[in-house]
Amino acid sequence: MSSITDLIRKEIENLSTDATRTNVGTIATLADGVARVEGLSKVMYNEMVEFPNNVLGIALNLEEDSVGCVLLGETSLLKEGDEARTTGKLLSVPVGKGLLGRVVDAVGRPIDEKGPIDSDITYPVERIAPGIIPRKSVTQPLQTGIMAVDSMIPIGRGQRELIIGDRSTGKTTIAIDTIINQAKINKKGKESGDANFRPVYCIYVAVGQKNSNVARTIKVFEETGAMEYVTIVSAPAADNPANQYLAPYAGCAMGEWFMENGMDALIVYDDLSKHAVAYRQISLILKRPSGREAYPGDVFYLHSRLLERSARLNEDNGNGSLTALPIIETQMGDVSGYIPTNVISITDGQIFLETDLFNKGIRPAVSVGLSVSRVGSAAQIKAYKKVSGKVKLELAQFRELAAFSQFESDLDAATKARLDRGARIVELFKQSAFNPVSVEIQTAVMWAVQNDFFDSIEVSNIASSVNSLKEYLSTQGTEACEEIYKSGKLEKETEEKLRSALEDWKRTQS
Amino acid sequence: MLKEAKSSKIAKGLVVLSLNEEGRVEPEKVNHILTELKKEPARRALPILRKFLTLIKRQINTYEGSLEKFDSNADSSSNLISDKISLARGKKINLLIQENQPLIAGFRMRIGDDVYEDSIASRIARLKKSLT
Repeated sequence: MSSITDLIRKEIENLSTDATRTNVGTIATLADGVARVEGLSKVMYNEMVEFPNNVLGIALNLEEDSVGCVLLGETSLLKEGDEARTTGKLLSVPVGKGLLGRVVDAVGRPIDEKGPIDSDITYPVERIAPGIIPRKSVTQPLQTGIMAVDSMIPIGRGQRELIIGDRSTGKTTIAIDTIINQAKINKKGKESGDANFRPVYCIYVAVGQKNSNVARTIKVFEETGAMEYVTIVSAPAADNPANQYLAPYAGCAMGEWFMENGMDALIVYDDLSKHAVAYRQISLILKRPSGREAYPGDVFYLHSRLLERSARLNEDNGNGSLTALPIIETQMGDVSGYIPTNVISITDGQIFLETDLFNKGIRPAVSVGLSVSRVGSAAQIKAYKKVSGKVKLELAQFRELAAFSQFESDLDAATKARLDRGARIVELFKQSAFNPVSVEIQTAVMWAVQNDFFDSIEVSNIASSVNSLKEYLSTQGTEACEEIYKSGKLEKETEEKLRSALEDWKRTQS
Repeated sequence: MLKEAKSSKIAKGLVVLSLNEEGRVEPEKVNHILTELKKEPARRALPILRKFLTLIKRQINTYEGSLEKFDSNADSSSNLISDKISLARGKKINLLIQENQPLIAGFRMRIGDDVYEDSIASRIARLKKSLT
């Protein structure tokens, strides 16, 4: 009882008794989540505006006679003539480790019924991206656990890698796999007791998705034990466009906290096509001039200012990083659309997923020719770099030869060998969803391919053989993998241990 | 969009014609403008007049405000507030005193878009907000 009275007494003591000055206006029109307010002559751009019934808005359009505000709450509670007042604050969201394991909305309010967020710190959703001086080049790997990606399109901490493809080609699955893999690595690192281990915290931003999809994603994270390292920012399709517009910026602010405090974070924007559509909707209601595909002129800036906030900071600035995996949905495989080309030009590479490959059963359906990582092998551990250096070239050659060989009945030995190797690599890269593989096992499997351990196995049996090898390496032949995990290198002695383990495995197969 | 901008430009011109040397709206000048407009109606008279009304209201609000108190009796404190605000804004501000019992004590003053408030009701509202 006394604690309650103490709390009230403390609040009274801290309460300001000065006269307040606010700037007010009245709602002139109200439509589609946007209010046009007359007055508010001293409002700032992006300032939070307070409406009756605790509804908040953001001033986005500052015109001569009125202010266009996007509304963040229940708009049906407002009517024309209601008073709006400035708050003097920019929209901020809670940040910090208290958000891990939680599901929040676009303004950081919990929606998972697990009680209030345990965080005292807030960051504004719109912030200026780090400049050139505090940055550092990307060199530390961020393993996705997907062999096709980690071997051919390696991603580094602080990189922005776009995941692009048509609907239902496995874009979200790649992002989810990456998050699950981070949780696996974090747990292993924590158990190892390594003082230099740097966990990667994850933020998954769902924009314009069905609530059922978001619920399914949460379930996957919970079942795989990844949820304790993940924050989900949800602005589903049923949410108003203002929330969908803000969600990626809110998620980014949460990720920036980790980066600025010397930690590593990964953020997934799923997806930025729907984000652009929400922004187009807001802009059209605000009567901003429209351009190509009715998007406003600043749609490039919408995404560039978001993705530029992902960076790798240097040691003087805490050595933190924020890696971004934006997702873009294409129409009929057309990468030359307005939004896809914009985001391709902003990011440091893309993973392109093809519908044809997906339908052929090659999953993840990564298109080798159209996918690239501009960071390259700088974001790979030495051991993996050694075994996967030639894979992309071999696979590209295979695709080309496979197309020509359809017309040839008689092939020379070298071409046949290339085709055989390529067909085996394609099978090798097939991987089931939510089943990421650790980098040391990936290295061992790739080494086995390079050293002809799969040449005697029928192509149709490769997938099952790879699975059995992965299981063998994680249960029995662990010594070589442990050495790769600890040193990150593939020394002569390690290779010998690996060879003997693989020969043992081969014997079990025959 | 263009038509809207044109109406706005015309309305602004009419406001300039309605002001006296002190920047206050002169009723005779406004009457004169309205009479002239009636004689020769503009093509887009309605949006122009609407905009004219909005702008005239806004102009009047820059020197005429409202002072809400628990009771509507003018007292020395009302005159003091009026003098202080006129001094701060660099021009004579006329305050219309209005009764607002929910304030409990203190005052709420509005001039243009600015609201100055120091009342028991606002302090309770702030306390409520800080406790929730």
